[in-house]
Amino acid sequence: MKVNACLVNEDQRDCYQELVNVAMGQAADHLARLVGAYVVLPIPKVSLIDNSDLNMAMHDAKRDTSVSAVCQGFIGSGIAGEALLLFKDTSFASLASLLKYQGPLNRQMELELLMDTASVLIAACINGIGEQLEIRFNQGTPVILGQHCMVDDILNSRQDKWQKTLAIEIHYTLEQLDVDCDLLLLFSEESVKKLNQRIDFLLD
Amino acid sequence: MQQTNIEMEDIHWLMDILQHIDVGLVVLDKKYQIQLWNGFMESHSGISPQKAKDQCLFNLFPEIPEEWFRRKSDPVFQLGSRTFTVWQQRPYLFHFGNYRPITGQAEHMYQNTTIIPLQSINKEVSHICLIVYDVTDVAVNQSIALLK
Repeated sequence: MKVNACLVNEDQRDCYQELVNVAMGQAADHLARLVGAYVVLPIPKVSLIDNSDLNMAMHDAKRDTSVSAVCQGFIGSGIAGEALLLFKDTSFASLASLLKYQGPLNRQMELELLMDTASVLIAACINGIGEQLEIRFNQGTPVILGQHCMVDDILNSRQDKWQKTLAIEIHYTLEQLDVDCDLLLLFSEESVKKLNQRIDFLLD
Repeated sequence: MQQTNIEMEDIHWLMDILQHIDVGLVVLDKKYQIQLWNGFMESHSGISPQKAKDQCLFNLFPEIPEEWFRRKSDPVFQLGSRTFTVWQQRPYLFHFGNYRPITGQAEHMYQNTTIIPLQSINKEVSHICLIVYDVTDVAVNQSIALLK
């Protein structure tokens, strides 16, 4: 618990929560407008995540063949992070019809659908956060885990780069539709310090 | 960029950069008519900016599936978020030859593209910019690595 206290204090955590709540409101609105369906407003969870927690999540995504995952890096004003979207494959059919994808849904199309959805969900959320903190975030090209890069390679090479960092978890669902996905925003340890400075500025 | 005051003479070299940067830049309006066509696009397509100007992208490049591209660009116009195409899913958007026609191993240029929103003064997204990256080397290297 000592480490937690060092990284983000209680006030800062509340502030992050508030910030993300506002951003989520905007993101859900964007999404609803795009798909023309009511998006259940999710309550994001701000927490500190361990290296091992993330590894476990990635392991699960790899083992469970019915889950697909996309990563996308983002950076703005020296604040860097990565978004990870975990998507239940049962959601593809309903999402495809929502976004007016025509024709039979093969694996290739599913992945493209996944990537498009990821870009929109991630952009909506980080832009919402960025606007409030006056940071303009850039997004890199999204990468599909398992297709564009191998999960084992990531797990093997990134073991000891960091221990604990700030994570924002968001669970999206669409009402009356079988769409179910989890968005994880992770900030690098270095960036948390810079983010804290901006948060302190808001708190003062 | 937003905060800096750009003088007239600076525009000159900014335009030079747009023209000579080894990345494709295409600005499209809401009717998908080409408004900017930089040097990279001109060189690889052989279509001059004068000819490309105000042409509909889909007329000029029938190889781009219209419905698919609209689906990619709709969120950019509507939500102001950027979207992407990657070579693993669609090897190229524009059918260009390999940058190294003699020693290059791939027959065509592999491309990653990003579509970004361009806001007008009233904050509405009136144009989008299509950025085309040549990722042939990455694609070829990865295919070789997979074969091994």
